[in-house]
Amino acid sequence: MRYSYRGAAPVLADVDLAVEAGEVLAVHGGNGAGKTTLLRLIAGVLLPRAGTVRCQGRIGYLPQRSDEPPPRLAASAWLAALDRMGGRPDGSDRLAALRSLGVQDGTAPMDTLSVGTVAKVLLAGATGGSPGVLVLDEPFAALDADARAVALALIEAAAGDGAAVVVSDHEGAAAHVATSVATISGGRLVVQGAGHGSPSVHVVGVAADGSSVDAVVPADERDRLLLQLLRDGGQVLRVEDVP
Amino acid sequence: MSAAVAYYLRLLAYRQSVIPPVLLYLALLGMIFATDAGPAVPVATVTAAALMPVSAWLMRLTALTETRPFAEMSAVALGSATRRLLARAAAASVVGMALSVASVAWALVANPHPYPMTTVALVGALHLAQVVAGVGIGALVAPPLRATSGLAAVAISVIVLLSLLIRWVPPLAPTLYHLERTPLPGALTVLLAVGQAPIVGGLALAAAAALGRRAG
Repeated sequence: MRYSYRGAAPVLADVDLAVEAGEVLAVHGGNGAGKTTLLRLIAGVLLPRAGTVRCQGRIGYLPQRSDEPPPRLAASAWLAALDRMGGRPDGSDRLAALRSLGVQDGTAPMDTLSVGTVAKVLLAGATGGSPGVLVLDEPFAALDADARAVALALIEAAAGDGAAVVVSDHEGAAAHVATSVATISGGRLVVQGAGHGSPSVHVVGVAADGSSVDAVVPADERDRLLLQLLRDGGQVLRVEDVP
Repeated sequence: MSAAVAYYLRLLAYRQSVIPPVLLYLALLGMIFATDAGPAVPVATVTAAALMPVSAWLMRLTALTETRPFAEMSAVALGSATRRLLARAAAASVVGMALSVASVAWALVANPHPYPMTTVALVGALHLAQVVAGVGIGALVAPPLRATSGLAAVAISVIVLLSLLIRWVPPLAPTLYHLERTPLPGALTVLLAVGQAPIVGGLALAAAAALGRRAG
């Protein structure tokens, strides 16, 4: 598929990927590579300019965090509203997810909560409701270590229940649960390969359009990524093994 | 959909920014009906026309109740940005309808002129039609489409001015100028005066939906 914002160069071009039920795909790429746009397209928030997105089952979506204040609504009330809007009147699993993330009291207005707590509320909203497709944009940002571990467990549980999971992750935490890895550079999918269990390398470089490339990829995909980067006129700054 | 409308109404209730347009409209009603406002239909064209920009602003405020991450999650939960737009429009229309009821009730109580049932029905329809027009126009200056508050205010003002100055420009002119001098207008006049506004509102909503699907 292809996507461009109005009057701008394509943000994504010729991206073709498939995520099976039970699979966790970690999407890597530098700032401005097109990860968020890809996830918004998969979630149906954006429509591709060309191509199609096909999802089976209900979609759970965690958008990228924003610094704007949340609505003046209790977290529990918002989660319940999200359930009712999705046609699921019983929102107990979202509240359970919120509690597991360390937020015991969901009755405080969200605009009084810390950034990290709002991030947990959003994550609970996305992962609850038994989604068939789970799309998470930087789910570990603003989470403490304990909440990160719970977030990883929620992702694994969703995949275990048969959800196809797509996670964009700048910090490498998703590598623990990813069954496959995709790397985006300059709006193009440059690598899609196996995930956890296989050795990985950290590649840092600059794409031809000046955007940064900062990706953790399976070691056996390293040469393909480097070749692609250099062939497109980019630069490789650093390659190191991920322990 | 009803759950989404209830959700947006609840968010609106938490926003103090809803108070100024509502108070402004009620103050206008207070001024109009402070003395003998004149025959029922002509005065209703004025109170209905005033409801259009108020409804447009209410639609914008409804869309602004959610910041981007929450708005995107609502769209995904509802199945599409178009459904979210319709839910927002319905919520803003509920507030507009409440103001319509207030306007008709105020007229019945304060205006000494006769209000037979057919006139009450016409007056109510005029108000509701302008609510729909306003909500549709408001959708064009509300998120996810990009428009600052200043730009939105200017755009709505320009539409109001054009429709007041040019006697055929909908949604206000046909209502104001076809009914103002007619105590009991004919069916065709009523159809034109009332029917054009929801068409404008519907087209504006369709345009906002089409643009919003690209904007996210």
